[in-house]
Amino acid sequence: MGSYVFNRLLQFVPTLFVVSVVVFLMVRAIPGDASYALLGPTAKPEQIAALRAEMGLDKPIWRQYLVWIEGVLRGDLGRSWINDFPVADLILQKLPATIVLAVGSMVIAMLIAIPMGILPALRPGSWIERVAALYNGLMLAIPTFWLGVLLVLVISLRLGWLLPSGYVPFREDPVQSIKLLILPSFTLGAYLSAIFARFLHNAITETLSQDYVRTAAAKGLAERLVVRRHVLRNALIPVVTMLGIQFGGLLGGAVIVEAIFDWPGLGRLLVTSISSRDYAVVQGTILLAASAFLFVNLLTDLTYGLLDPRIRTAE
Amino acid sequence: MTGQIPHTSPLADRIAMSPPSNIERGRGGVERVWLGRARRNWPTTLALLFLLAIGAIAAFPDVFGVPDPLATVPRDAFLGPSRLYLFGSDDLGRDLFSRTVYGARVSLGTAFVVVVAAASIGVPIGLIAGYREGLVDALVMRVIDVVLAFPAILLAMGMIAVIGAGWINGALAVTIVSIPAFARLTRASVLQEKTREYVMAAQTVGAGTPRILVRTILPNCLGPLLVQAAFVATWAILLEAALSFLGLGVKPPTPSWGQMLSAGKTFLYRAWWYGFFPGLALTLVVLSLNTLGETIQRIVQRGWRGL
Repeated sequence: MGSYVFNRLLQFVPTLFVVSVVVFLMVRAIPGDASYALLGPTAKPEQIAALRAEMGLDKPIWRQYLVWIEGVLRGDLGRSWINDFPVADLILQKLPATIVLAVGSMVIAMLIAIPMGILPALRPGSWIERVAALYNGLMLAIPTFWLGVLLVLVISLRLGWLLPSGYVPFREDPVQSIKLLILPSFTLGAYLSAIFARFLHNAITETLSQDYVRTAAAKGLAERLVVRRHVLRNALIPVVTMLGIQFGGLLGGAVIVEAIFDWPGLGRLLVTSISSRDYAVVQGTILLAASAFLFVNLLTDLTYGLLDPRIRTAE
Repeated sequence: MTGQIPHTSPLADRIAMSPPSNIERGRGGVERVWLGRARRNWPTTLALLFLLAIGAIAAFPDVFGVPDPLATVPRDAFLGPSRLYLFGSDDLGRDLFSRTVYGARVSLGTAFVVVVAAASIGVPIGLIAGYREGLVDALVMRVIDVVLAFPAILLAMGMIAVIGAGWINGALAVTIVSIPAFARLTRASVLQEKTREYVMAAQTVGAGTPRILVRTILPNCLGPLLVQAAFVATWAILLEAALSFLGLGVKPPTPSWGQMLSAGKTFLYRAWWYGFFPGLALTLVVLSLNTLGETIQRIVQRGWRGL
């Protein structure tokens, strides 16, 4: 196990390094350079030179990278080009909304996927199986943005059950906060719920055919107990790692869902900063998202190795 | 058709994939077999017909009498679906049916360009990396790992932040994030294929590397690649729509589904049809491509008889 963890970490660190280089170079790749983009076409050469010196743009590129990465490691992501706020502060301000949305969508996905995955697997050929298949097929096919728009149309505008958009921090008004969270979370979680349900369904069907389940049933254990003790425990393990595998999709989906519901998270921050050419913020946001993505992938692989000895010995 | 479907399998599979046997032949037999397959797989048939229909009308809108998607009739703003405006009209009184049709050009066009471009870059990369292994392979795979180290949409957005929004830039960004899908699959297939006897036979008779790669190995990897192409097309359409939805793709007034959905969301309280029909079109295209992809996968795995 030790060497598996070591090998996996050995891959993680260089990838993280290359990702940071790519994100760093991204901003250097814009036409002209940062000082030109900041000061605009009317700037005098001496102004540009002064700003270049201030930003360290006159140094060789590898020195610039070292200065930048050293700041990043201290939690300093630079300052916004538009309003001069520290990028790290801007991100921290938007991060909670995105985390709340991500957790909410995971919870909803699980709440739907567990019955939708377990019941049809235990009653193959029943109407439950057909309902689940229909639900999964629909949710896998409907693109996030259309689902969001439809939900707002029906649930908010026709039925008037929930507000179409908005965000309230949980601490300020828990009830309103959760009510506002339902539609965005479902929109983001719907696809995941179908993925999980299908996965769980397969895992349970497979577990049910295992010898130890047959033995448990043969020794006269009640069906409920067989399912709970022997089937679910073994079938749920891979679902946990599925969560990790779907994390990247969740990040991407969050960008869309935040746009639909005017959710003040990182996705909105990224889109507005791309539109306003605030490259420092774009850089910081993408670096954070990519690092989180890599980190979750690492965790997923490690848990996988932990749960399934075959994987770590194959290395 | 049968001969074009690649097979990596021994004789038994070849027999299974051969054209309908003598029993099924006879007068009109072949047609009957195909009709039977089409009926049994009605979702696939439906998907294929739908894609052909939408492709035809999007390619030749004038032939089908689709009105001008840019013509504004201010007094007709926000009209619901009717015989005059099949899908209703938008805030400027533009015909949403023709905008949806022209939006299909953007979506299907993106899918086509992305699949062709990503495959023509990804497949050779995968072929060479898989065949050569060693340093080349390690290098190529690390580059691909870096592309995969970003969630696709974020990488595409980052690229657009640098190169600017627009259809071509959007397609370029989507192509780059799609290359790994082809490169990795090709590499995996090559690694598997190159140890087989027929490749060794080609090497023994002195065939050069390009010939072995293109004429000997590639045809046997085509099946999975075809499946991949269908899925990459789906995801290219979704990514393009996402970028347009966020205002980072096709620029107005050119109609695109993502951008119509975004505008439709703004006017949702007074015109449900604005975002509804582009979204429906997007969903149906995605669903059709997925259905088609799954069927191709079945054919690749089990042959036409499996249908």
